[in-house]
Amino acid sequence: MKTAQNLTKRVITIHRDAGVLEAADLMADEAVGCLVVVDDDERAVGILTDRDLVVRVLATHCPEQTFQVSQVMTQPVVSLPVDSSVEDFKEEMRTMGIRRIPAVLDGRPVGVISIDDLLQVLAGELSDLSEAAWAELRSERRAARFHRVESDLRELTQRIYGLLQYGSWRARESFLSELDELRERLGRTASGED
Amino acid sequence: MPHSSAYKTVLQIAPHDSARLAAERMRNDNVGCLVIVDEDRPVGMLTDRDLMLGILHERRDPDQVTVEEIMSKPLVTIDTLASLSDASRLMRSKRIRRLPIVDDDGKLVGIQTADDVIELIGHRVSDLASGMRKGMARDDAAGVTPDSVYGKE
Repeated sequence: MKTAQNLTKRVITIHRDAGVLEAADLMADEAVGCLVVVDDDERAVGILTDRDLVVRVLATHCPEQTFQVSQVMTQPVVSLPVDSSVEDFKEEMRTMGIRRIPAVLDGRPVGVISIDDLLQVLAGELSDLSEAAWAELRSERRAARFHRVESDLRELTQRIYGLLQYGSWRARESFLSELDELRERLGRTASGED
Repeated sequence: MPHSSAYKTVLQIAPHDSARLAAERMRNDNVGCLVIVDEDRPVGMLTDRDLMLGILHERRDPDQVTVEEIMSKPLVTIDTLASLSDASRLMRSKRIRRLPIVDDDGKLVGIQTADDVIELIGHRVSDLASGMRKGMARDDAAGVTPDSVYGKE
C-alpha cells in the first residue's frame, strides 16, 4: 500500500484569530494559495484559499481589517492521517468534491495533498507504462507482453476517467505533457508506424 | 478544437473597471479568472490570486485600483485553428493554465483551460483503451493468440 507521505507538500498554517490581511501576507510570502487554519492546540479547524479572500472579503464591500480568518475559512476541514494511502486521499477528494486535503498527525497538519499531486502520480505511472510499451513492442516477445501492458493501461485510464468525473481542478504541466506524449506514441503504434 | 465559448461573456471585464467589481464578478459568476477585454480584444488576465496579492497584500483600495493596474500581461492567446497538442504545448512552455482563443481579427471568441485539455486528452486515452478492450475481446472470442497475430505460428 502506497502511503501519501512522500507526496505531501509543506503546509503553511495560520491561527483562526489572525486577520485576513495577515493571511494574505502569509500566502504572498510563502507563495501558496492555501492555508490550513489551526486553533490554540495547533489542530486543523479550517482551510483558507486565495479565492475565499476574494469572494468572502473583497466582494463584500466590508473593510478588510474587520475580518478574522475564522469568519472566512471553509469549515469543517476534511483531513486524513498522514499514513493514509494515496487511494484514501483520492477517494475522499472524489466523494467530498474537494481539491485539497491536509494530512494530519494527532489532528495536527503536517502536510497537504492536492488533486494535482494525485494527477502527477498517475502521469508518472502512465509515462512509465508508455516507455515499457514502447520498448516491449520492439522485442521478440513483444506480443504477449503488450497484452499485459494494455491491461495495466486500461486500469489506469479508468482511474483517470474516474477522477475526471468529479469536478475540475488545476492541471499540472507535467501531466499534460506526459499524456500528450503517450497519446502520440500510442497513435503511432496503433497505426503501425512503429 | 473544442473550447468553452459558452463562458465567454461572463469571463470578461473592462480595463478601467475596479478591482472591487472584479471580485464581485468572480463571486457572482463563480470563476477564478477574468479576461480583460478592450474593444473585443483580450489585453490581460486577472485571477483571484492577482486580486489577493495586488489589493489585500499590497494594502490598496479595491474601489480605486483598476483591473488593468494589477492584471497579467502580455497575454498569451491561441487561435481557433490550434489543435489540442498546440494548446497543451503552449500551456507547458509558458507555464499557464488558460489561453484566450482569438479569431483572425484578434477578437476574443472563447477560452481554453488546462482542465478542458485534460478532459479531452482523457477521452482520447479512454478511447484508445476501449479500442484495445474490443480488440482483445474479439481475439479471445476467435481463439486468436498473441503469437498467431504477430506471425509466430
